[in-house]
Amino acid sequence: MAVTSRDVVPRTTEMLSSTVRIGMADYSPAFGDPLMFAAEVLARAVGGKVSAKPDVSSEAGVVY
Amino acid sequence: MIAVFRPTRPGDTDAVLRCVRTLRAVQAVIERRDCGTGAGGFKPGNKCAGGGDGGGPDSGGGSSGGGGDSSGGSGGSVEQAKPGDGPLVKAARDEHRKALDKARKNLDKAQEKADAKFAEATKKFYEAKDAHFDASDRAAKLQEEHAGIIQRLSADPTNATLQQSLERSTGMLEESSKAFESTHKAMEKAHKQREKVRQEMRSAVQKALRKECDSVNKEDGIEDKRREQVQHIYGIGSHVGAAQFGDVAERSRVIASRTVVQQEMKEAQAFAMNAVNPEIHVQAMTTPIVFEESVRASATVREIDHDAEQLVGSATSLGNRSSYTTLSANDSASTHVHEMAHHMEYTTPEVRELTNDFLASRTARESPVQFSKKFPDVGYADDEVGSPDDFSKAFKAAGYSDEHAERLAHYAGKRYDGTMTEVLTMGMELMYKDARAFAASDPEWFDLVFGVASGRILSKTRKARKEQRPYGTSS
Repeated sequence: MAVTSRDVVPRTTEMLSSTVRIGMADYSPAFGDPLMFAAEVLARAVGGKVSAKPDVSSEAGVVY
Repeated sequence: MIAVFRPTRPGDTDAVLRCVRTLRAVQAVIERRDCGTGAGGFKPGNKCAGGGDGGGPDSGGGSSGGGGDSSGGSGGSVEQAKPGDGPLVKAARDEHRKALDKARKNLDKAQEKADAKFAEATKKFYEAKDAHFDASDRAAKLQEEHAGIIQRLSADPTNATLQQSLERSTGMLEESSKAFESTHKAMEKAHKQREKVRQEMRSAVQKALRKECDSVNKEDGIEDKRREQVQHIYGIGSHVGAAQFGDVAERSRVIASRTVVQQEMKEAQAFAMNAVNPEIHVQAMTTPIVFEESVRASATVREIDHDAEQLVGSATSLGNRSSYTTLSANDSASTHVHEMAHHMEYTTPEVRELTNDFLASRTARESPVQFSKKFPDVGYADDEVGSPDDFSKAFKAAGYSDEHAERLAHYAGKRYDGTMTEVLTMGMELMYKDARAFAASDPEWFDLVFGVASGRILSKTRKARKEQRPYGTSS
């Protein structure tokens, strides 16, 4: 995500929150854990994917 | 008889909200590679305890329909339904063909006008969404380049070429941030517009659905008395927290009082009041609800003779029930509807006969697959098994992506132990989302769901109700 100035962070965060809210309208219990589905929506929104394996390229660890 | 649908992977949607609050957390979630099938992730769950009797004495499809014992599951070796099973739904459709055709036609007519508007709004929404996601991708790539330049510059701070590159990269990054924001605004606007049109469409559809429920009751000479009871319970909200005591009940009521929760609950209730016949499904419609902050929705079900008058619809009876629905504070109306459908299936034996029969018929030639193998890395447990038939066409027609439609189709064909299915739950979700598209894409499935909800195809239940005797006993 592009972070070039301080206020971009809260703005981007707000946008991502909104994207997740919109995406969650498609949630069904058939998708399982809503957290995982929300993470999937979020990951798609930023061009990535949710991984079940640790991302070794990141020092921050992985949420899964 | 109790069946418990339990989330086995404790959800924590708050964690997601925390996650989106920092970009670092976002980065931690992501592997930068192609977007796969995504998350999912439910573990051994939805265990239907105790089995079931499959319905009345002349049930043909009660036990066969479940197709398999999912408890062993790891090898995917489950009992297979035999080709040729499933005569009950066919018989029910044949018996009520004229009425079903007419009802479908009425529905089609009711939704026709709103449908064109909805299709246009949906098209615009997906265009806006794609544009936003493209902008997101571009921003992500630029950020990676930007970070790389910063890293190289830290090792060689006086490098003029790198300094120029950084300046150029920063400019591009700022531009892409602006594009990211503007495309997001466009997506939000398109989403709101689509939801507005969807409401218009739902309103038209629900009128047609209600007409069918009224028509069934009129034909049976049944007085419209339970509708008022249900409306009363919805109005005072006495079913929220009714199955629980103390803190749990109080917490449920607190969560239910939130505006966003109220909104979803009211929307689900409005749909239920029109699409579901309260003279038949009163128990399911007023099943106590327990709200929790963050949990995977579940239905804990117990068989109740729907004709037992003493259990019906009064606020005082609610506290005595052991069936209840657990919902998350974040659940949408369609999830409320999904869980209500579990209770519809379980509280009326004839419904279970039909849904199991339908599942057997549709998946007869398929071997159930393990979801954990079919959709690896998304957290399905080994005992989650099912097969998709061609259920996906209905999900695609409702606007789901191919990838999601495939997962949902597998879930619709999920096997429990022969007593429960996901045929009605997923069908009710489809009817809620886009009834016309559902009817057009999979009329057989639609007729089952619509026929059950309105009561139209529940011949034995309707007969028992008219004669005021318990279901399954001789007239």
